[in-house]
Amino acid sequence: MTPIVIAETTATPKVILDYTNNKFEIEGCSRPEDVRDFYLPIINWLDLFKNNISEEHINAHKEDPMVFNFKFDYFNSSSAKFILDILVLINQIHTTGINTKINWHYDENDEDMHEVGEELSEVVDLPFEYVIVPKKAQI
Amino acid sequence: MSAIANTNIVSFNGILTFNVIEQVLEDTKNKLQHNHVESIIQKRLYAILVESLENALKHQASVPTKNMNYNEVKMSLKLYDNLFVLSIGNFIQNKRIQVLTDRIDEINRLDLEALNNLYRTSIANARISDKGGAGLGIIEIARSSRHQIKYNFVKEDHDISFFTIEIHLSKNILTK
Repeated sequence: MTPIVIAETTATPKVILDYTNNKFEIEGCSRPEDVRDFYLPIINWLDLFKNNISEEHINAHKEDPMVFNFKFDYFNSSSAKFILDILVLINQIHTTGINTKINWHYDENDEDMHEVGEELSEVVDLPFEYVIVPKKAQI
Repeated sequence: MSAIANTNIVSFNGILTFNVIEQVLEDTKNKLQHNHVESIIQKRLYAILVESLENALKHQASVPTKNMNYNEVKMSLKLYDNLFVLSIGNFIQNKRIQVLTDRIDEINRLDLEALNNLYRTSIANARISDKGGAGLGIIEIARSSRHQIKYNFVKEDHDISFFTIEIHLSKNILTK
């Protein structure tokens, strides 16, 4: 599949969805001017991938999971809905038999971001690995 | 005593745009960092500002009128001793007031645990509106603020009022 690579701005995160290089990452601040325009291509990419999973994909990830890295500094409430939609799709990919892993990164000063990760994990019923990022302090 | 005690941090009167919000956020961030406000408080204040400004942006033009003044938004962020006070107001149709105040009253009755439960059930069922909102903004404001949300409205005429909400945030970490 053609990778998605979106550069970071002050209002939107960096996004990489690259199956060939097994790199799946969202990083930065998310409060897009048009949240639907920003997230729909990402949702559509994951949905298309989910609908085209083969035995070959499943076997390829038996030892080497698809690792999704979420590294948010901040996301607004309308982004949260789309992040949940992304997590639901990852859960669906997982239930087709593909070995997946979610890393939820948060600044060591930002316990709120840790807690919101735990909330999303609970809502989507999917375990996260939590990764503490050393002090950054900037929003 | 902090150099920004009892003072204005940022204010804006006029027509909000996405670029104006960017500028307000940037100005606020710089002032808070310059004055060494704790990072968790900076982040909560940032979340409150984003949600309340975006809410005002979505609704500022919802008053059907030829009077452009009715599209203006007034906001100010001040620090009184150890309390940040964000005031943000816009014109709304009187028929919307009851729904809005009922919603704020409902949120004000909840403690942090109940707000967290409401957030989980709301996000699971949220739908993005035509204006781009998920209906979670006021819950997020209350969770970040950990104070009651105050409001008042001043009637302009039989159709329109100026509606202001006031959001408080302690400068020092506090649990509800």
